[in-house]
Amino acid sequence: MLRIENLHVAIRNGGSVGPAPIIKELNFTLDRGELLGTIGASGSGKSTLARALLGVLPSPVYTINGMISFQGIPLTGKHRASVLKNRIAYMPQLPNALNPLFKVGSQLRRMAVRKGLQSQEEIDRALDSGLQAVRLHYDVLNLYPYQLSTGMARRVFLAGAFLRTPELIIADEPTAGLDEELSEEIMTIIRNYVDNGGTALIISHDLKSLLRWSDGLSVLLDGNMIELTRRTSLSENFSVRHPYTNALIDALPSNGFNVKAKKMDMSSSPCPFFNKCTTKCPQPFELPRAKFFVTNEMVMCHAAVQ
Amino acid sequence: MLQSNNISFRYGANHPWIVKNGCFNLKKGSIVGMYGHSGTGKTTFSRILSGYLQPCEGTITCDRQPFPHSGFRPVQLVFQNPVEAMNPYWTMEQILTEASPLDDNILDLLEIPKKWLARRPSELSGGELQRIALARVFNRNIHYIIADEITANLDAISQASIWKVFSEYARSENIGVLAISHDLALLEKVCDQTIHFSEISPSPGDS
Repeated sequence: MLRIENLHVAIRNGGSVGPAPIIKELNFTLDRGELLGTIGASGSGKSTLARALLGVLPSPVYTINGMISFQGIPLTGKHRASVLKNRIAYMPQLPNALNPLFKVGSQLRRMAVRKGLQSQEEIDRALDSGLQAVRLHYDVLNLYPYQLSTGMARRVFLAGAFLRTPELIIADEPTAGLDEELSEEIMTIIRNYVDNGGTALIISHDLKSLLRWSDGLSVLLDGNMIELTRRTSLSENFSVRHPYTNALIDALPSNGFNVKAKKMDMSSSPCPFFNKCTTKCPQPFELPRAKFFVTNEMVMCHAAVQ
Repeated sequence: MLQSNNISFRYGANHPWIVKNGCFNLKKGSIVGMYGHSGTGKTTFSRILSGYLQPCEGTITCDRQPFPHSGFRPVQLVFQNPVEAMNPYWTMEQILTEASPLDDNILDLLEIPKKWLARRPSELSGGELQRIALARVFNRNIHYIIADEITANLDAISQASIWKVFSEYARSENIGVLAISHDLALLEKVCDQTIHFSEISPSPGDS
């Protein structure tokens, strides 16, 4: 459904160092009916990936190379605007993406108009179904954004996304700053949407909820996708091949809270994880190439067996 | 001991109480975890404890002294988002030396390389900036640290390494820490005891 080939994003003017790459050579596909989670440390390129997919990176600042296509339609060309308007919904990270001067209702109505709904009746019906999907009461329409809690604001974004059921939802940190109950509620809504034929790409640092809710897990490190792993059912564990992903999972408070000691090896290696890796590397001075598996998974590590 | 005695807070006479009769004691050398639902006043409470907001009722005492209204406070707050907590035009060196001279031991402890000192907040990642934010409060004159979701924006590895350094420092220097988080598993790993916010300030917003 969504296909990304050789995506490369760089800041044009990276100061004295020249163009600074943010995303280096990204390749992956997202299938219909899949909930793919993307995880990575801050600065690894997660949000840039979302913005590149939406085409909102300002071109005077960024150079974007490579191919992004949505159901065969390139998202880089003239079809981008119409595809984004009707078929892809984006859920921003911060509640301040709402205009503070207008009530939630009028903002959702404007979203509906922009999504191509015309008659008042159509819009009202869309509002109803959108609010119902996220279990928000009708009263929320009369509130100003400052009266919403973070959890409510996130659900308002989701309601906006569901005004016209999208084919793909891209959500940036949908659960950050929420308590466990609320984050579970948000993830359940997204999960239900995917189970009913939707597709979602979730960018998050909340590994615990991704391990629980997503069908696929992609791991970004320093602008590289170092691992993509998928499972056939939610009850199954991900088969993790990259030492960084393993380290992330081991560092979860519920899994032991372990941080392995860094070796003080300061020799430079093109591998983005080399300086923190505790696995013995067979080829430390070569950039690991992506190894692909028949199951549509990949890993970028010399030590991983294919 | 940092004591709050029956403190209540609201933003104005016609507004609902956000914190009502909050009682909480933080001993030096103990790490206390606090959790609770979104929007129940945890962050407001942490701002009152650290002196950013004045309580409408009740008092706060720090080592039996009334809480200083201005000047240097022995209680400091570490924020969730380090980017917003730092002046974007300042270098790390300016940020770190604002209150006290640089301490090499602290920089080593938090693994802050010297070359970062010339950088500005936009040139470091979230985990790196949060280490700078901690270096700012690891100070001989600060006895209580309130950490409001300090690792909520970080990946699991940065989170574990930051809490490791932080809890070791607090124990060795006899610092009282109030850690606020939604992640109960995290609090159980790093804290001596955890309390639900409703035990401090019962049913906020009702009265």
